[in-house]
Amino acid sequence: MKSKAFIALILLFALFAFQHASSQEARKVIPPNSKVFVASMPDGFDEFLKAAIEKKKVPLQIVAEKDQSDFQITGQSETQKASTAKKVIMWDWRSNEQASIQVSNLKTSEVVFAYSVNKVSSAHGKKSSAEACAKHLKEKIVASSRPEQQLRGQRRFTSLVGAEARGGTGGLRKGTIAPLDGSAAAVARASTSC
Amino acid sequence: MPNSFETYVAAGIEKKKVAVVLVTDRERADYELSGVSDIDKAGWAKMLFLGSQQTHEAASIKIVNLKTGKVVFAYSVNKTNSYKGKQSAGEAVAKHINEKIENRYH
Repeated sequence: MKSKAFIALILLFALFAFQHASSQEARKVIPPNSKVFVASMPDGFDEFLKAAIEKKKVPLQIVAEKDQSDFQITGQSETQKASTAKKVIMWDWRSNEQASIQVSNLKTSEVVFAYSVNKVSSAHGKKSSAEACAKHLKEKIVASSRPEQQLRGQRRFTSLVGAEARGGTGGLRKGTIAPLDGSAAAVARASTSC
Repeated sequence: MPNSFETYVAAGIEKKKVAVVLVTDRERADYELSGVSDIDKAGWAKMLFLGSQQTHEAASIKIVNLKTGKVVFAYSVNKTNSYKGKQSAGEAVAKHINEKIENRYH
C-alpha cells in the first residue's frame, strides 16, 4: 500500500515537472517566419546580420519597423584590426572579431535566444561573425519547430523519475535564486555601476 | 553594462542552460543583474615576447533581489589571456550563477 502511494506521489511530481518544463520550453520558441526587427548595432553589425540571415536562409521575416515585429534582435560587435605588430611579428593581416546577439519577444520581454561568437583572425571579418550568429539562430528555430524538441520536457521527466528511483533529488534542487518557478532575471542596460 | 557585456552574459546563460528566464523589461523581473567589464588588448610586447594576441578580460556582476533590495549573488572574473575574449568571461559568469542556483556554494 505504501509503495503504491509512493509511486503515485512520484508520478504526480513528475507530471508537474513535465508540465512546467514543457511550458518553459514553449516560452522560448521562435516560430518560423516570425517578424523580426534588427535594432541598430555598433559598427553597422546589424547590416551584416541582415545579410547573413538572408544568406543562411533563416526562416524569419525582417521588418523595418519595430511596431510590426514580434521579436527584436539586439547585439554588439567589436572588431580588432590587425596591428602593425601582428602584421610584422605574426604575418597575419586578419582581424579579430567578437559579437553577441540576443533575440527578445516584444510581447513578453523574454529573451528567447542569445549567442556570442569570438573569431581570432577572422577570414571574412564581420561577415564571418554575422554568419555564425545567423547559423545558430537558424538551428534554434529549426530545432524548436521539430516535434522531438517538444518532447524534450518528457525526456527530462524520465530522468527525474530515474533520479527519484535512485534516491536522488533529480534536477529540481531549490536554490536561493529560486529556479524553475517562473523567476526572472533582468539584464538591465541602465544599471552599470556596482 | 559597459561594452554591452550584458549580451555576452545572456549568451552564456543560454549556453550553460542556467535555469532563469531573462527579460529585457525591469518591471517584469524578480532579480536584476548588473555589473562592469573591462578589456585590455594585447600590445606589441606581448605579441613579440609571448607570441600571444589574446586579451585580458575582467568583469564583475551582482544579482539583486528587486523586492528586498538584497544582493543575493556577486561574482568577479579575471582572465589573463582569455581564449575567447568576452565570450569566455560571460560564460564564466553564467557557470557560477548556475552553481549558485544549484546550491553548490555554501
